[in-house]
Amino acid sequence: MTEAGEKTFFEKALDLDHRIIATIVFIIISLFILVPVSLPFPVSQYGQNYYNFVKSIPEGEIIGFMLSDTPSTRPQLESASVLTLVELWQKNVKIVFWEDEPYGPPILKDYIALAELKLGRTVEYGVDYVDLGYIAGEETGAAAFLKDIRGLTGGKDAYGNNIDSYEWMKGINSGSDWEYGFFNVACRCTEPLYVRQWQMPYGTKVGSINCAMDLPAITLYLATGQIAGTANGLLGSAEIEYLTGNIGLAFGQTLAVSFGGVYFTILVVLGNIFFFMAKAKGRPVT
Amino acid sequence: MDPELYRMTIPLYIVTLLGIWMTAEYFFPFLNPLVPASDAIRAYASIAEGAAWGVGTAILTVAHLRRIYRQSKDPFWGYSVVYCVFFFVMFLLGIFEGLGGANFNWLLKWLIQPGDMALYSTTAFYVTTAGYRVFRFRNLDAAALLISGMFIMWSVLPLFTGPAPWIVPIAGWINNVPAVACYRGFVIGVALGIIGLSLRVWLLKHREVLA
Repeated sequence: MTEAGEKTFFEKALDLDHRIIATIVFIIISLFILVPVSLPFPVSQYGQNYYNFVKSIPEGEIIGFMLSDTPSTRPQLESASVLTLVELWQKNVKIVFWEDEPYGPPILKDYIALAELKLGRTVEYGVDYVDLGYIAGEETGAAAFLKDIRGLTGGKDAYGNNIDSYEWMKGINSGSDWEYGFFNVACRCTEPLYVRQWQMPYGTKVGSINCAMDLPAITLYLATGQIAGTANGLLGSAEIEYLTGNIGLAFGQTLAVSFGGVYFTILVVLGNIFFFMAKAKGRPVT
Repeated sequence: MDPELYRMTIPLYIVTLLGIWMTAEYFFPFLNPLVPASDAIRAYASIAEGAAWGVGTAILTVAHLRRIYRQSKDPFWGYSVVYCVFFFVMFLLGIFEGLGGANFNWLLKWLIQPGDMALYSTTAFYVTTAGYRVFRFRNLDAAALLISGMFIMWSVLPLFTGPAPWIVPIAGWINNVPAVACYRGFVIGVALGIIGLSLRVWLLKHREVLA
C-alpha cells in the first residue's frame, strides 16, 4: 500500500483476480483446440518405449488388461487405451479384461466400440476378448484375483458365462499365465500395486497407462525395468496417436495445453518480476 | 452381552488373528498348508469391499433422506433432494434394466461422465492461478520448487521440447535422480509406518481402526 492507502501497480498485479487468469486460460485452450496450428512434435523416451513394448507383443498372444479409467481422466487416457487395443487386436491378441474401479466396466465398453471403429471390424466377445468384470478390494482383491482367477470370480465372466466355455481361457488362471499385461489405473497412483502383485510375483512384463501426475509414483519402476513402458498422460496419448498415425483429439489437446503452458510460464515470470519490484520498493509481499 | 465385546473386542481380535496369519503365510514358506485358507481370506476381502460399497451407499442415502425429513434445520437440504432423485433413478434403472440398459447407460454417458469431466477440468484454472501466486522466488526452497516445476512442465509440452530439446534431459534428471531418491525414501517411510501401525493394531493399542 502507498501512504494514501492505495495499492501500487506491482501490488495490484500480484493480486491479479482469479477470474481474469482463468478466463485467459479458457480462451487460449479453446482457441487452439478450435484452430489447431502445426508444431514440431518430438516423441519422448517414455512414449517411444511404451510403443515399442506394445509392438513387441507377439501375434496371437493372450494378455491381461486391467482397465479402470474414469470419466474425469478419460480425455487424457482414452487415446492411449483405445489405440493400444487397436494395435493388439491388429495382431489378433486375445485380451482378458478386468476392472478395479466401478467406472471401469462402462468405459471399457466405450473403448471397445471406439477400437472397433478404428479397426474397421467388430471384435468378438469370447474370441478376441473376455471381461471378468469389476474386482473389488484394491490390492487385496488384485492379489487374490491374480493368484486364482477362478477362485475369485467363481469361474464366471462379467456376464455370468463360464470362462471355461472359451477354449483359449482354459489355461489362464493366474498372473503367471500372461507374459504381457497392461494396467490403466487413471490418476489413483496405484501402479505400484500391480508391480507388487503382478509383475514381481509372476514375472509378467507390464505396461502402464496413467495420468501425468502419476509419473513420480512409477519413475522408480520404469528405472528398474519393472514397468516396461508408460503412456504418460495426455502427452502419452498424443504420442501414441502420432506413432500409430491416428492423429486425434489428444494430439490437438496437447498442442492447446502447450500454449496454455506458454501462458503459465509468462504468468510465473511476470509474477516473479512484480514480486521483486514490489519487494525493492519495500512493500510487504508474500 | 456387553456391546463393547462385539463392537470392539471381538473385531479387534479378528483383525489381529488375520494379520498374524497373513504375515506368517507370506514370510515363512514352511507354513504352506496355510496357503489355501489365506487365498480364501483374500477372496473374502474382495467380496467384503464389494459389499461395503452397498452398505456405504445405503448409509449415505439414509443420511440424505434424514436431512430432507428435517428440512427446516438444514438450509442445504435441497441438495439432498437432488442426490436422492438421481440415486433412486440410477438404482431403479440398474435393477430393472441391468448394466447394459439403454437408459442407464444414457444417463451415465451423457450426464454423469460429462459432469465428472467438467469438474476435473476446472482444476486447470485453479492450478494456473495457484502457480501464479505460489511459484515465486521467495527463498531457496521456493526456488527449487519453481525451477523443478517449470522444467517438468516444459518437458511434457511439445511447444517447448521441440525448439529446446535440452529441456528433456534436465527434466529426466530431476525425475530420475532427486525425485526417485525422495520417492524411495517416502515409500520406505510409508512401509515402516504401516508396519508400526499394524503392530499397534495387533497389540490392540490402536482401537481407532474400528472407529
